[in-house]
Amino acid sequence: MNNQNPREVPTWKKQVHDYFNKNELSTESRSRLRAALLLASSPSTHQPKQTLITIPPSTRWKNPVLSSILSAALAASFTFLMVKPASEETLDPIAELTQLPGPKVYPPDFDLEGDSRAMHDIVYELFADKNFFVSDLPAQVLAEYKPSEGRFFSWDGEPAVSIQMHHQNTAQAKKANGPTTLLIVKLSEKSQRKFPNEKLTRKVAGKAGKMRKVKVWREGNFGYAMVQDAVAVNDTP
Amino acid sequence: MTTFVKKNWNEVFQQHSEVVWDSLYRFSLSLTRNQSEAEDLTQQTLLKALQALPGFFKANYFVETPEELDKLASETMTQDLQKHLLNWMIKIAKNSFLDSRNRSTHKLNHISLEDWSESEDFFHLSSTAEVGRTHPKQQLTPDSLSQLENDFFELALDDDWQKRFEDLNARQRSIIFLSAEEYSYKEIAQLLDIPLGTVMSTLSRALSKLRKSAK
Repeated sequence: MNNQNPREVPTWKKQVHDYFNKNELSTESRSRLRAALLLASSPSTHQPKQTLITIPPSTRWKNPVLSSILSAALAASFTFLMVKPASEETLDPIAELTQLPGPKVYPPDFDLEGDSRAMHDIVYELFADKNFFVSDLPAQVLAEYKPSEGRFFSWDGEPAVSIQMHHQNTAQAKKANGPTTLLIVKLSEKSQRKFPNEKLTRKVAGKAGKMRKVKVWREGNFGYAMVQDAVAVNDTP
Repeated sequence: MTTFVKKNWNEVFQQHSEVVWDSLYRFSLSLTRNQSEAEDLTQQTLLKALQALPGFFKANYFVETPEELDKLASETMTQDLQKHLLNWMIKIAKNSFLDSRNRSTHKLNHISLEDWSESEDFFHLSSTAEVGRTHPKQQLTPDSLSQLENDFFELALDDDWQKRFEDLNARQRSIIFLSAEEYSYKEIAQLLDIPLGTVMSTLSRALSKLRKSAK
């Protein structure tokens, strides 16, 4: 090549150009690119829509520090106002009931051992509601369980009672890990909507992560819950 | 010539840009030295260009409203516009290449973008002895570089020049490629977003390396 006439010697540009021109996209590569382009999302040609609230430039706060504080305060207020009702709305009264400390935790307010019939008097006195004994459910409960220690408490601003119940059937009692707790609560209007009219068995995670079975139902203004550990729940009450 | 259709940017962009796909691919190849990576870079560039196409028109034709944009897009795409489109995509390809290499070098905890670093002594000829006509600290001017090029033109590249070309760094390869495609120094500087002097010094250095073994 060096012996050639300089005018005929290819310039480095031509050599580089020719070298690169040997490379071109294959048919398959072109097809791939076409497909990729056609499948890609189309570009947006429109300007972003205006926000709902437009603040005129003349009224904008010029001080960045105060503006940040004001924004933070507004955001916090908005969050508080929105989250609080939302959290109340999502409250699960059944799950909450199962988390209540039973008579085993606090000293009992009464002991019905050997005097099951006193249970009527206690709860009647507590609720002072003539509608309470319209239901025969406590009777059903007493047919299969023997009440023992119990305590009064307040739930959702209303009186409530928890009573330890021991299965009268020895086989069932052995099957159970321990006594079942009967909870009777007077329901507020809000809680009534969350309580099922029909009997419903649910599994609720306990504080120690242990699953507990709870059978709940509602009779008028009163909610009932039979809470026990994760063992087979008998069909009563 | 086809025209842009308002409602199908993808198809029309594909049709219009396909003319310059090979050029874009070759530029990508000059950066990556690898056909597979060059194809990936080309595809990545085309997809980015498609998404940024309205912005390209807005920036270059000073249209603001969607109506103006649609009107412009519906006009015939001229050859100049195609060339403009290719140059724009070359910029995108270069940035994409640097981004991906920056990511990979960052992962490997290496110094990133050493080939493109502004810290290089751009106006010094590293191989002046081989170039033979300039002082080590002499600054290049377009005239002196043209003289160097003219000298270089008289020398044929030997058969191994391609191997030495592969040994050049990405910036040198891309500048050699663009220069061989008859881009001016100014255009190369704009496309690669580097100073004009850097283009000249890099080209000079790259040419001197390419002629190392030329007899």
